[in-house]
Parts: sequence; structure tokens; C-alpha cells
Amino acid sequence: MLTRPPDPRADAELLAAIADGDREAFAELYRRHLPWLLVRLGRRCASPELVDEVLQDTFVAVWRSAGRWDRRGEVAAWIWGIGIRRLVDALRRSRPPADELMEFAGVETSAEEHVLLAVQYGDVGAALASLSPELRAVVQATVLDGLTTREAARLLGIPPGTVKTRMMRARALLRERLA
Amino acid sequence: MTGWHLDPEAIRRYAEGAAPPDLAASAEAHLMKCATCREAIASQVDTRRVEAIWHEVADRVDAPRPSLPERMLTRLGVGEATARLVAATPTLRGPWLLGIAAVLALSAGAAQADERLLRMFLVAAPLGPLAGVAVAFAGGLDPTREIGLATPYPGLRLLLIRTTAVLAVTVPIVAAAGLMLPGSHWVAAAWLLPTAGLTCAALALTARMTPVVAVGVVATAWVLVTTATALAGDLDLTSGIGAQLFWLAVTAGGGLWLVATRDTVTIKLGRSA
Amino acid sequence: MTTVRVRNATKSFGRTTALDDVDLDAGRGVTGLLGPNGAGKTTLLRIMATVLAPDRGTVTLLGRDPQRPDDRTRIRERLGYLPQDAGFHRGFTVFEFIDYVAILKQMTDRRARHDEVRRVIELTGLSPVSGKRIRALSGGMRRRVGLAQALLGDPDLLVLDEPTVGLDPEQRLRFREMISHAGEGRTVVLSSHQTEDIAALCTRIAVFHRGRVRFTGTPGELTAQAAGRVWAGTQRSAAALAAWRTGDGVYRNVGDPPAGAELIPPTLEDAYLLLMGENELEVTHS
Repeated sequence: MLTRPPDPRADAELLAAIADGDREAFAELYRRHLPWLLVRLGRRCASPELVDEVLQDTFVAVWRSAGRWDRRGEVAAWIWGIGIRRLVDALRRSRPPADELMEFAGVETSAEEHVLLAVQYGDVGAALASLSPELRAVVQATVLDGLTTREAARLLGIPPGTVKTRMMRARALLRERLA
Repeated sequence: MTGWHLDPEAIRRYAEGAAPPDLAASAEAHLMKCATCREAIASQVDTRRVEAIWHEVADRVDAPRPSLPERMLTRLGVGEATARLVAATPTLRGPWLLGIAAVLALSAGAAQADERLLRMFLVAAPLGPLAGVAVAFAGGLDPTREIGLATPYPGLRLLLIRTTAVLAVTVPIVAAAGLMLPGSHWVAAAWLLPTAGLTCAALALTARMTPVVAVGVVATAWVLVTTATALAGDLDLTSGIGAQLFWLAVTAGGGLWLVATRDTVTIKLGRSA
Repeated sequence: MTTVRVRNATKSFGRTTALDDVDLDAGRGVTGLLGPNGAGKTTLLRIMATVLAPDRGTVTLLGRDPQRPDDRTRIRERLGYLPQDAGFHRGFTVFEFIDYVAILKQMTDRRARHDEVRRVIELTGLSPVSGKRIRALSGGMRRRVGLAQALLGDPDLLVLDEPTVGLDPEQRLRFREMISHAGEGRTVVLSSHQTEDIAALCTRIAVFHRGRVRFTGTPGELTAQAAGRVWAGTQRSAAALAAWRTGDGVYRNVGDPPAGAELIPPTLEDAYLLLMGENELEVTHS
């Protein structure tokens, strides 16, 4: 399946074909979207087995609910929404020991990466980089991954109350640093 | 699409999990909007892992989603393959079951009005499950029969699986109809042994004739022998102690014969040019 | 190597004799049974598929005797069969149906079975529709589903009854490809009343007429029988067994020559028409 010539159809067209039972469109959508999802989910869960399982569930769900895509926004964002929620559910089911969560450890940010961040986020990126790992994880889960407080709590393995307080602290710090 | 792309080094570090959080965050935000960079990540991912996940996904997507009865059977310990065969039994499709249920409900209802009809219920009751068995094997209703015949699956085993499935569904329907009858509830259960015996007799006959003909022969014999006496008010042939023992013996004998021959007997084929 | 060996096979249905003292051998490659409807092709194929037993005569399939229960099961394990009117549970999807047949073929391990189902689906080009219900498919696609189930388990003997019937020309070409591919290293016996299919696919042919075999040999041998019997002329010959006007306005006469006609090379179809016509005469005169 990985050696076929590229399919000219756009993601949205592929989804429409999938809703119609087109298996080749599905294989193509998988080929396009699995790799980045694998990496991105892998950064949020340290167990590759669990990530694999979540990805299976995600794409089976994509196959079955392709007809329910609302045709707004990026297909990638829609699939991500399914994937991250499946991950949250999977983590809740097998409540992980704390070490299964990725450490969002601080790595030195290079000069060109600062440029990249500036392009993408402006000063927010730099401010984000300066947050402590716990606070950054909460910002990432709620702001970037689009999770609710409750879902973020499940993903991070902390009580929802803690998510809220950390989010408040992160907001205050960001406001201060961007001011 | 955006006008810029992540450089290969950034993609590599992100894919390896070595990117600092701010780079990762910006890479992720960018990836949501840029198909080119999503494509570029593919080369950084273990192909075998991608294939392995696909294999699972494809299997779950293609595989039949088990119906409710199938899931129940698997939970009861029936093999997945056998559960599929049961689910494909033609009788188990709605219209036939409704038909059987309607006929029996009518006869039970009629028995309320006239006591002679109560006896007729005992004659009619075994016919419901028998009809179901016949339907399960009627060529017109099992469109895959010709293909099935050329497979190594033992014909008698398939016959038994389907018969069991049909009985499991029709017997409760008949029992429910029996409970609607006036008078003693024992009479309402007296048809069970004759039904079992008749079914076994029909199955045994499949060594000599097609299942549909076998059921027809057995059902006709039953109706001919019992109708007259039942109408005259004599229930010995249907529900008397002697009759019950007789049907118990037929059931046991038929059952033993089936066990002894289950993999060797050839189910007779329907005749067609 | 002979995979199929039929000797003196006779089969009657009531008063109709469907097969009358038929001998047939088939080995590796594609063997075609050619003949009009009701000539006995289907009856012989059903016998080869072990779903029917002859009244008289002997049959050996893959070196075994289908009359003996143990042998029959062994044969069926290595057999693929596409019946003339292959029925489907129409509510099933393509995958579900083929999976169902795979269960009947005793593939019990779910994972291995699904892999095999996927393999035949890919082989017959059904992947795009594997999740669709059979009732939503066109006739040509359903025929492919029938072929796919016959290919399950990579059988050594493939019995295909009218595999190309009801297909449009493009699908028919696709089918020829699939069947000739299947014929490599395997024994394929198929029936058709389409001489083009037979000419394109078969290494050996048997021509049937009223329950008897009238010819066995290669397509070239059959065609050669019509050498010197096909004429092109400006008019239809009254003496010809068959004559029709071709696209270029010339009459193609098969049989005896009309006046002023020119001898032309025969095709398999010409030879088949001659054979049928002469047998028809023989039958009506006797």
C-alpha cells in the first residue's frame, strides 16, 4: 500500500469517498496521516503499544464516521481530534503509572528555532518556552491539543482542579512575559 | 498551505522526540496546516510499525461487524466462525420468524374460544420449528448452497448448527404461544418431546433425501397420524405418557445416530439440471 | 499430469439425459467446455465440483475418488468452484460474503482467514468495493465476487461455470487476464458458449452437444477442421451451414461454397459452427 502512485484527491474528497466505502481512498488517507499522528501522539504517551492501539481505534473510527465530518476546517484537525480523545480514553481505562507520561523536559532552544517560533507564534512561543514543564504541559493539552479541562486532566494524570490552577498560573505568567 | 516549511533537521528532531517543547509546539501547529511537511514526516517513521498498524486497521475495517446474536454466541463460548454460520441461517431473518409466531399466536388465541382447537395446537406446535428447519435449507432461500456444497465443511455439521439455531429461536416462540392457552400448563409443554423427536427423525432422513423433503415427510406423517385422534378428543398420541416416552426414545436414538455419523454422512443434494 | 479424469460418465435427470457416456481429461492449464445451452457442460462441471455424482462412470479428481467421503473432503479442500448462478446473501458485504465461504472452506483461524480474504479481494480488483453490500453491486462486480471466493485457499483445481457471462467487453478482458493467470500451475476447467473466450484462454477444448463430447483437442486443431470450408463471396450460399454478411459487405459462408466465392482462413467460431451444424444434421437424420 505504500508504493502506489500518489492519489491526486484532496483529503476532503478522500473522506467523501471513504464515506462511500472506498477502501483505496482510506488507504491513501491512512498513508498521509498516520505518520504525523504517530509522532504527535507518541509525544503524549510513553507507551508505543498504547499509541499503536489508539491509532488503530482512531482510523477505524475515521472509516466508520467519515460521513459525519462536518466539512469545515482541516481534515487533519478532525482526525487529530479523534486521535487525542481516543488517547485520553485509553489512558483513563489503563490508568497509567506516572512515568508513562512524557516529561516535557526543557531542552535548549537554538537561534533558528527561535526564529521558527516567532514565525508561528511570535513572542508567545518564546514565552511558552520559558514556562515550567508542568505548566507548559497544561497549556499544550488545553490550548494546542484542544482538550477540555477534564480531558486534559485525564491525559496528564492529574486532578481537574490542578489543571485549572496550573492554567491560571500559566496565563498569569504568559501575560506578564508578553506585557 | 503556508508559504514556508519546517526544515529537515527540525522535522527529524521533532519526529525523534528530541525537539524542545517550543519547537515541538510550533511544529505541531504548522503540521496541522501543511500537507507537505506532514508528508515529510513519513520518512522519519518506522515503516514496519506503520504497516503493522495498517494491518490491524484493515482487518477491523473489512471484517464483518458481528451482529448482536453473533456477539452473544461468542460470549457463550461459541467459536467466531460458527457464530458467523449461524448468523447466515436464512430462517433467522425476520419475516419467517414473524410468520411462525403469527400462526401460533392465532392458533393459541383460537384455542381460547374452542377447546378442540387446544388439541390442534398440540398438533400444530411442532410444525413451527420443523418449518424453520426446512426453510434453513430450502435452496431458494440459501442462495450459497451450491458454493457451500463444494466446500469441505461437513454438511451434517452445518445442518446441525442451523437446526440448533432455528430451534433456539422458534421453541421459545411456541412456548410463549403455549402459555396463552387456557387450562393446564403441562399440555402447553407436551409438544416439546414430539418436536425434538420429529426434528431428529427428519435429520436422520437427510441421509436419504434432501432436508426439505425429509422435513416434509416427517411433518406429513405427524399430521396424518395425530389430527384425527386429536380432533376426536384423544390426546394419547400427542401428550399421553406412552407417546411422550416414545418421542423421548426417538430423540435419543436420532441423537445417537447423528453423533455416530456426524462427519461421514453425505447430505443429499437437491436435484437440478 | 492429469488432474481431472472422467470415464463413461452418464447422468440423467428424470427422462432427460444430461450427460451421455462422456470421457474427459484435464491437466495443468485452462480447459474449456464449449457448447450450446443444455449441452451438458454444467452437469459435467457440477460433477467435477463434487456437488453431483454421475449415475454411471468413474470420476477421478486430483487423484482421488469423489464417491468416497474421505476422498471427497480432501478434494474439496483443494477445489474452487464458481457455479453458473452463484447466489449471494445479498445483505452481506463483499468481504463478509467471501469470509463466509472461507469459513465453509474450514479456515478457522480468524486472522489467517481475513488475510486470505483480503488476498483474493485484491487479486480480483474488488478492494475498492470490499465494504459494500453485494446487493449494491453491478452484475460484473458480482461475477468477480464469485471468482474471488473460488480462488480462496489457492486451490489446485478451479471449476468455473460460465465465468464471463453477463460481462461487458472490458470486464470480459479483465476476467480473461485473471483466469489465465489462475491457470498458471493450476488446473482450470471452465465452460462458455463464447468462442472468443475459449480461443483466447484455453489450451484444450471439449465441444459438447446434447450430452456428448463431439471434439477434444487444442483450439488450433478445432480451427483446422474448418480449413477449406469457409468462403467469402458476394452472396449468401443456400448450401452453407451458416452465412452472414460481415462489416465490409462480404458474405462469410461456412460449409459448402457458393458460386464464385473465395476460400478464406477459418476461425475457431467457424469450426464450432460447422461442428454444431453437422451434429445437428446427424441428430435430426438419425
